[in-house]
Amino acid sequence: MTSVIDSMLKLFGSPQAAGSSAVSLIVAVVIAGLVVFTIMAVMAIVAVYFERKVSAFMQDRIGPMEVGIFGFKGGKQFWGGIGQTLADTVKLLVKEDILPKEADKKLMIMAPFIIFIASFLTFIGVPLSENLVVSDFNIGIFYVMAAGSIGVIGIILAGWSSNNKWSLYGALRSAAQIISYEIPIGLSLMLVVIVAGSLNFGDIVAWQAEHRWFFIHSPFAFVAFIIYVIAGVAETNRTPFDIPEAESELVAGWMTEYSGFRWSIFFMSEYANVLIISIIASVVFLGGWLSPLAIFGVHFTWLEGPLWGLFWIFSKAVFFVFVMMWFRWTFPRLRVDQLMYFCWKVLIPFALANIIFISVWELIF
Amino acid sequence: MGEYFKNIYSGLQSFVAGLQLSLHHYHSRKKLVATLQYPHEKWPVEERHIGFDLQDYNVVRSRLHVDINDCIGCNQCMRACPVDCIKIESVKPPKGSEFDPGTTSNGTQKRMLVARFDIDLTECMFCNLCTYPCPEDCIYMVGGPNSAKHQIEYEYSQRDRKDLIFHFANPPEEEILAAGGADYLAKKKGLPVPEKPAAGVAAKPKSTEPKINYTPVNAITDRMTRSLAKKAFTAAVRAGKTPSETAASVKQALEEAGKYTSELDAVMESIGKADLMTQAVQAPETKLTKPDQGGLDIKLLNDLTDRMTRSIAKKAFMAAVREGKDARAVADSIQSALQAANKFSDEVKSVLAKLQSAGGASAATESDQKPASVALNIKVLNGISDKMTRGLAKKTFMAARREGKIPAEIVTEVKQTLEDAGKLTPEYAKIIDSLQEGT
Amino acid sequence: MDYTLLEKFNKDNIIVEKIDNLVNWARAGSQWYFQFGLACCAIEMMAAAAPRHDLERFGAMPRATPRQADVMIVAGTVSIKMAERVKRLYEQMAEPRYVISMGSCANSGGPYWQYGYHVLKGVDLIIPVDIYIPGCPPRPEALIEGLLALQQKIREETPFRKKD
Repeated sequence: MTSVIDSMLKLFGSPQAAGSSAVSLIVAVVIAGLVVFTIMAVMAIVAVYFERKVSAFMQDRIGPMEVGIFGFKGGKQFWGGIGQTLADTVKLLVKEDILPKEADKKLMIMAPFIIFIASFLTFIGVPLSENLVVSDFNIGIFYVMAAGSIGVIGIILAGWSSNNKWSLYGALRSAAQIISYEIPIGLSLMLVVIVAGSLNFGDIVAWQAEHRWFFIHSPFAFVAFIIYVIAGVAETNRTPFDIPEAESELVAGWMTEYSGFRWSIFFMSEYANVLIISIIASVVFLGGWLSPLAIFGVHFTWLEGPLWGLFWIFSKAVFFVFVMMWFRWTFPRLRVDQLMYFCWKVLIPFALANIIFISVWELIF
Repeated sequence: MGEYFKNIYSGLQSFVAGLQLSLHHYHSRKKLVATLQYPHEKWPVEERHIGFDLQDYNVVRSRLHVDINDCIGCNQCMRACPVDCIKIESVKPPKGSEFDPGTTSNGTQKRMLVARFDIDLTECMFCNLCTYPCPEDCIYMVGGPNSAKHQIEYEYSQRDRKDLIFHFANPPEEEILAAGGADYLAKKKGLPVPEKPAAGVAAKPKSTEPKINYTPVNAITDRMTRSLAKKAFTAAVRAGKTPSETAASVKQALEEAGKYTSELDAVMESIGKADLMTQAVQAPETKLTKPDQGGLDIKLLNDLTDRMTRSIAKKAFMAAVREGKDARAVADSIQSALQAANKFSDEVKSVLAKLQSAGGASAATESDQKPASVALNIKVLNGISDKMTRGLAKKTFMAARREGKIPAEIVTEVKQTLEDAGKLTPEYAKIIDSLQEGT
Repeated sequence: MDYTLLEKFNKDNIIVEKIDNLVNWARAGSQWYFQFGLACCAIEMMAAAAPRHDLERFGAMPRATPRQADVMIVAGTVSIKMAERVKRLYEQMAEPRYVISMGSCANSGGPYWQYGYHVLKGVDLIIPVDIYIPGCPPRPEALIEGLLALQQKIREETPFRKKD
């Protein structure tokens, strides 16, 4: 699997020529960055609309219906609310920017960008199709986990700089939660690495193409899959683990003092995180860009290829996003101590036990 | 340990059950979505029975509406409104005017022109109490059973608060003038209203005819008996009977009602002997009603906050004034009346002092400087040489005075206290007695 | 209207008008409300957000923090003690901000206007109100109509154009 930047570099000129290599590198990087940013933005817009509609249906109501765009007028038809997120975005762009007087201005300005950078960096290692990845690390999984942890700094900065004790509580709770739940995620992904033998995403999918999809590889891998999904939901601060942003507990948690455009960056990175977790789940456990018929290792070449791969990854990712929304409107919020209990006393022992058992399994089979 | 796994298992069970429920709601959304899309679909729609029919009772609590042509200006709705958000002003055409306000749709002849009928819907609480007393059914809540008269309307938000005050009556100025409302219009515009003799009944000068003297009958303490007695008394006096005949008829009336007791014999005797009619109204009584004449003013008693106290004080005041007492005596009688009712307090004392100083300027005596009507001078007690005794005596004096005791009582109490403490000598007793002499 | 070409150009041009329309459309279509339910009208506001009459159809998402809210729906009686807090929260909202006064008590003190010693006689004594919704309490449909009236008012604004 080659990376986009490599292919673009080849496109723009040979790497030997000194001047052109620098220029073409910069151009390649900028274009890749823009593409990733566009994907994140579009994903955020679509995801917010999707979420509002899905939440509405699960609550026996209909979501946004009255805001339409470009001839798709709002009203009673099912496409009624398509322009909703676009309206939200434009509104947030032209809103007043408030920086409280006693707040730490530099940190407050920096915090959203750090969170955004964390999601952005993570996107770089995440594959979107067979040959479509910005940078093909051979330590793919490790990089993704590491880059995702940078977001915690942004959260703590946001809570601290708001000069608001409730924001600080929310930020620290959120930091504790994210850091704690990275351990079960890491352990579940470790299980996959043990079986596949490589940290590279491409190799993992290749392994799945040869054998079978990971989530049915063995009962322990299935348990690892479940653990990964649950811990992934907790990583992104979504219900039932959304104590940091709970409305009735902490107003809006660490985001309370942010308004307008800065807040929209938080919002966007949250949905980008959701997408990242979903894509990784689908790549690692569900076979990535392989078609569903390849579950047991059977291949149909007319269902595979770079574009088909994109389609399959996105559909599986969308399935996981739906599952996350489904969780949101099913479960009540967990209390902070229950959250921590769940992570440290349930998920981690099970994940550790899993690793031991899968090693035994590998030795036997 | 088993607990731990049981928890995990039950957690998984509830996990799956919850997810099934949400998924069911998501998949059956065509059937289960309950939204009534407001601007396109409006309630009420025919649906399940909610307990009563919309045609019988307006469940929606919509807007109030007044058919002003049916309004006869009776003010019943204004009086019924618990929040006073209805304001009605009407103009009555004078006698002999040709202005015809018209008839209502029920055939009632209107007698007044309603010049202003404002309902402030920002104050209204939509309780419907105003709709019940209307004799013409002209004020009603729109919709529901009144749908024939006015369609239901509950969405009428405005950008300005003034737009939510509904002015239902807007008669043109010529109509108001034709109805004889020149004064009303003038007052509305803030112009001075010309003085003129009251139209209709001429003001009667204060009657100087002799009135019935109820003093002997007022001696009856029981209210019911007293009222029966008064009725019989009045009837007898008006019939022109002599005092003894009056007494006899009063006694007969009370016996018939079964309320005659032997204690009332004395009362009957006094009736037989009394003057049945008072003299003509005397000058001192006018002092009561004109405060700028510097006389005793009953309004000073309005400073008393407690209602019972005030009423007892005022009754005593009037009784005392009728007997012709001066300011000091009036204050004394008020004080004794309140003390009898156990309602004498410091507040009363200060009010009485004001009363005395206001009305008793002519009757002021030299020692009337102290606020209390009890004008004992504590400095007299300085004659007691022993410090302890003096202190005790003064303390008792002040305490007794604060309780409002009369001078004799204060003296007795001081002496009693000193005797209990074993400090009463004949010398001190003389000094204490001299307290009273100073008054 | 006869303006010269230069005047017309200075007054209004097609680009600014379109931007105005876009911004007004965005603001009107995504009014995030700051749920300020104080008393009984709060129940009707909750009922308006419930599935039966859905406020989210109009893009109105409830936000708990004033910094991210566009419109403050003052629903219920504002007591004098609460009035200070209302003013403070209003000042914490980010512009452009709007206020809807819902119910009789917020409009003018409501049933307490005459003898209520503890009630602020109308929330417009402390904050500028855009829309008054009458009712005690107003039906959820009335609240929705008030929101639509506010949307209409927003569409008439001219954030980028010079006012005539």
